[in-house]
Amino acid sequence: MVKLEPLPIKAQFLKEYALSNQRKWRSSGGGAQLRHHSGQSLEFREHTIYIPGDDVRHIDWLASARGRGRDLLVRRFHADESFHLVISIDHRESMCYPQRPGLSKIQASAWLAEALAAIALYTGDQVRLHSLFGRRGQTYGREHKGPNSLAPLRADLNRLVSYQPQAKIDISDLGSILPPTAIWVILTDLYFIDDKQATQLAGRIRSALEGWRTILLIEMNSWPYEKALLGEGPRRIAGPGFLPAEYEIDGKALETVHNAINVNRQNFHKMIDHRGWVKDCWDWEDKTQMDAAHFFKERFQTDLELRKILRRQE
Amino acid sequence: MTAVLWVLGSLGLLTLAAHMFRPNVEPRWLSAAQFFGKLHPPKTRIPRWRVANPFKSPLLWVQLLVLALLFYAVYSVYVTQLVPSGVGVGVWLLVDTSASMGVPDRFGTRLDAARNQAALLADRLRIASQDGPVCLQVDAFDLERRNLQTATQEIGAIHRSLQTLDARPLGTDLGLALSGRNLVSQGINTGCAITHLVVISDQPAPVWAAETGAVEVIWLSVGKPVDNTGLTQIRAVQNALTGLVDKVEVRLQSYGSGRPNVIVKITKPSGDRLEDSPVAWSVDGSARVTFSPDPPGLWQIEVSPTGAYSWDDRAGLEILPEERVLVDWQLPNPEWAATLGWQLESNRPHLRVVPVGWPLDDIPTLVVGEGYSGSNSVQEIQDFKESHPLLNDLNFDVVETLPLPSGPLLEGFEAVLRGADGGIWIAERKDPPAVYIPGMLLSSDDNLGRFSTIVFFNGVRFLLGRRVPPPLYTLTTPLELTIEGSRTALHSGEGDTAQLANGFGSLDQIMPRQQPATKEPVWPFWLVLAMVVFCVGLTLSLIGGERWI
Repeated sequence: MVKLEPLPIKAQFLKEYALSNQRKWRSSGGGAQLRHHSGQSLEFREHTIYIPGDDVRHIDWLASARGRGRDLLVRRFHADESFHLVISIDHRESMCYPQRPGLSKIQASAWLAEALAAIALYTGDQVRLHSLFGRRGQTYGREHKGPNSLAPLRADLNRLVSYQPQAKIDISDLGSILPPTAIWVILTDLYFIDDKQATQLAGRIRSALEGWRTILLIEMNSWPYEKALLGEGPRRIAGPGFLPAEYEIDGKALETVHNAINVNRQNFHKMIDHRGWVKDCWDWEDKTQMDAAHFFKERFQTDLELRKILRRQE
Repeated sequence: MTAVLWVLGSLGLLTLAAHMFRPNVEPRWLSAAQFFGKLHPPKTRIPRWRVANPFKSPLLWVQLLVLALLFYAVYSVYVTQLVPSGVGVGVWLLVDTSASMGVPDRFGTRLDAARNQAALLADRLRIASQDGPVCLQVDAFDLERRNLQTATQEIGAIHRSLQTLDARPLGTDLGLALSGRNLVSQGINTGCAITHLVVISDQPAPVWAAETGAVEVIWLSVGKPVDNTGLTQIRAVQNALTGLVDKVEVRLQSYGSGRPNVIVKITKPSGDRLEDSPVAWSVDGSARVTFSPDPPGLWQIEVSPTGAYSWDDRAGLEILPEERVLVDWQLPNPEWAATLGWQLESNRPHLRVVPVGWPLDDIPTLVVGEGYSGSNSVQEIQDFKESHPLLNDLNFDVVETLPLPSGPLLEGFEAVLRGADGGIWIAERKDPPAVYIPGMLLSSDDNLGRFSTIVFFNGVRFLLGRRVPPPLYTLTTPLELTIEGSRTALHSGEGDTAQLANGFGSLDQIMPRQQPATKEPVWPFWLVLAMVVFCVGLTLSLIGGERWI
């Protein structure tokens, strides 16, 4: 059973991240990123919390006063931008490594999912979590919207990763929760046990791209850290999908394994056989000592692909 | 203790060895394990163990520290340190419970008088407790010291512990009180920091009670002097030739100024009584009665009338059946043994009679020379051991007229009678006992024949007289208190109830004072420290991960 640690990023930081992301991209307008709109009418849709930069003419002072003055509320119309964000998490056994004192891939994925979801909720978007290897009927939670949904979303996240991962990938439920123009973020280490799993996921990505969906696949690559832990010398290697075996580890052996991982990655990319998706990679540091919170914060802040998919258009 | 130290030392070496040999193949759990299938297996078998530098392991140092602390704890098991005490009163009460404490006294017995004294002590402690803490412990003593109350601050415990105390049919060992004082003076922790040793006894205070020291001794004497008459000793009188019990001597003593008319009643095993023996006192108050103990069995001795102290008025004696002397006769003419009433026996005899040259052992042995015939040498005596039993009844003037053969001085022997030419006529070996004589008895009735007879029987008496007869009775002990059969309570000194028992000190001396420092062993400290370090090491190895191992 996976026990998740609290997100090491404060809520205020995420709000500022969302704001700075909005300002950074306000005038860009270009790029291959699709815009996703809910429509062109001026029909009132909902209230959201005021973020500096919003049109002050749209502040609903009466509603804000009723909200006991904590936040200003802005009227949103159907002309405003909002999107559906679906985050798929791989929670198989390989994602549960490296173990403490390192940072496991599932922990990093959970933090990333929570951070992305928080930003989306602050900006009035809808978020749903999905489990890549969940049991049919248990692969996704309900849709969340608004900042008050953060706690239930966190509960959803804990629930999804607590389920026993299935041997085969189940993405049949995605059809119902991944509307066109949605943003789909996939968090995995690509360590599929067999080609069938890779083929299924690659095929699903391909078909998702045909619905003008934005797809960001973030590979959690802990190999540099595991390589540092491995060192050189006689070793008994064991792990998911692998019977323990003894090897004399030297530079040549490490290079062979490194190449095998690269080939696995490249093969998966080839399977997708489409241009419209974004690949990203989080590489663990090649040191045996690791500050998990510092690593995550640094990667999250400097990851440009994340900023791109969360940008809003004026 | 040496064995324990060896074990600890061995454990240290084993620990070192265990840290030297590490598993060569280190296990690793990796998420990327499946990609190692691309690797070729090693060409040669990987050795299971490798030699590592053990001193790099912090855990080794922790473990060695634990062993070192255990080693030191065992090594210093007899080491103590003085722990200072405060100001207060610590009383160790010793109450005499020997047989004489049962003698009737003014209000009950002497032990009742002791209880009264103890009550006064309790009153004194209550007063002293107003000025400082009070601690006490109570023991009874006779031939052993028994703890009645361990260290307590409850003064009422004195009365409680003495309530059911009785005098026992045992003697008095004042050394027990002395050893108690010495224990405290040496700082031995008895549970209380003792400032005063209070002894209640009907024995007079010994000299050491007045010695100054860390502990004040207060000797409270009880029991008014009262006359008494009783048995003091019963001993066997041995037959000088055979060593067997020939007579029994009963000794009596009259304590006090009077010399009462008493008789000694002696009852045979059959229940018949010998004629009563009136006692004739000597000037010092002692008297003696003897009788022949025939037949063997349990005899009863009784003094009548009885005295103030009852346990010396009667005794039972066990007279064993007459035992024939066993002799290993290695000379010609063994009929001599039968003539003397001896039984021939070579296996662990009482006496061995052998010629010169016979190997000697620890059996008393009479070594007989080649005999008196063939010797023409008449000579003067060179020297002799004066008053030696082997020379009893010998007329030296006559001896110097006899042609006595000169014998060799055997190894380990000393000359007792020697001729002018240095030749040995009579010699002895002290341990194991043996005697050399010139020859066997002669049947002639002349001076030489009488000489041969006298030296022969002197030698036999000398050797057989050393036999210790079996005891006629036993004394009661702390483990065997019951007076029955031949077990008696004739403990020395108990019957002297007429002596004036002088005490020493008074209860008024009891007041708070600086209590002596006590000695505490140091090993528990080192043991606890070893346990703490062990727990620390265990915790580190559990949570610290591989770098601690």
